[in-house]
Amino acid sequence: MADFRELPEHELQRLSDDELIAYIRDARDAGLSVAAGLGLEMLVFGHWPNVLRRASRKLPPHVAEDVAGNAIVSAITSAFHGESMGQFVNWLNRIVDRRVADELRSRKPTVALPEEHEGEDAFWGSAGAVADETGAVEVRMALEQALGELSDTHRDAVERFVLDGFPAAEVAEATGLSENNVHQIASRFRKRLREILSGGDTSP
Amino acid sequence: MADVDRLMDEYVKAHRAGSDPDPADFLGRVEGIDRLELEALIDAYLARAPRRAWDPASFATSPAAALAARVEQALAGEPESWPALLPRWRNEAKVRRSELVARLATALGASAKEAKVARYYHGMERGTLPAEGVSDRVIDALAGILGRPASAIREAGERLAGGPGGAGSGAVFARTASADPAFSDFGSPAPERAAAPEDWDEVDELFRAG
Repeated sequence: MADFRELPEHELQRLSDDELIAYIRDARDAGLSVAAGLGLEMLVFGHWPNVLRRASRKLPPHVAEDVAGNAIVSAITSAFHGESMGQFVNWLNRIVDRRVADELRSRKPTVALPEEHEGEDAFWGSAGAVADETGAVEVRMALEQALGELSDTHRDAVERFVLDGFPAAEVAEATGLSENNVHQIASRFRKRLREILSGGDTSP
Repeated sequence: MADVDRLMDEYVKAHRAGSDPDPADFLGRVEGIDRLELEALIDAYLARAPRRAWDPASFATSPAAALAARVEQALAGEPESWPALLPRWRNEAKVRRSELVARLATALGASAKEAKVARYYHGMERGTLPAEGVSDRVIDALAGILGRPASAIREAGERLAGGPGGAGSGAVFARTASADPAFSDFGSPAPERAAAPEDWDEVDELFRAG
């Protein structure tokens, strides 16, 4: 690995997750433990708060911290062992969702609904969607269903505009749609999402 | 839906500003289907959000530091130290941290000071509590709760060699090995700081005097 080039922090910061993982792997192969360590620390530090927030949706804080930590360890180690599928962040989210569902399932006999924890600042998710142990991912599944009904271009537009919060003009330029179209597609998506969430018609 | 739009916009702006806003604060301002929709949107936003910007100072005091050490050890296949081993054994024993702390406090005869025991145990899992100060009573009690040999727990602590900053930590990557050298602050916010001399009690003795 003679051609490995160690990058400064500001350049590492600009790498995507998958590029950063490749960098860490190359650094390890080159025996450059400091460079590899920095990359790994940036990866873990960068994702920790969002993963913890997501795990906290249905789990009390001390459990969420464990679940989030275990999910990150599992996602990164499997990525290095070539066991992950697709983009790292998608793999990470799949593991988080699965671990949260597993945790809720294991707690089922005694699990309390979120309302029972009012005042504990434990959950941020709604109890309204919790029907069983899969409730933790139910809201996410609804969103995935609504997204899955879109064409690739429309999905791209919705993800950028609705989920990432980018301005319509910017999304229009990136997707080749008109600004007006972006708004219309987003509006239809939101209506459909609410339909699914309300337990109404689930067919497109 | 207008409320959802506004709240989502506020949430995203706050998150991008780096403040790690609590979704509950936003969800508490809407009800019914609006709440569900906002929850779905915030969750999806978080799932897609890019990594937060690197901040070495914040990293050093974040749970991410111990987590990175766990990943390093897992990748290296090296013998694990407390930050990797204790959470893993606890998970395998299906004992939640709060439950373990309660049982540990009871075993140590310190039930009335469970919060302090919790802070010290947290330091063990984070790798910020020097292993040499932890008494055999604590190690034996932990061994009983986790169903593991006390010697294995002690050896894993010794691998910390004075905390994650120790040169003999066995960490693969030197940066992490120097991330959190200070025990005085446990690498954590104020509630986890070490006791002032006048507050020193039997729990401090058990976890810090060896």
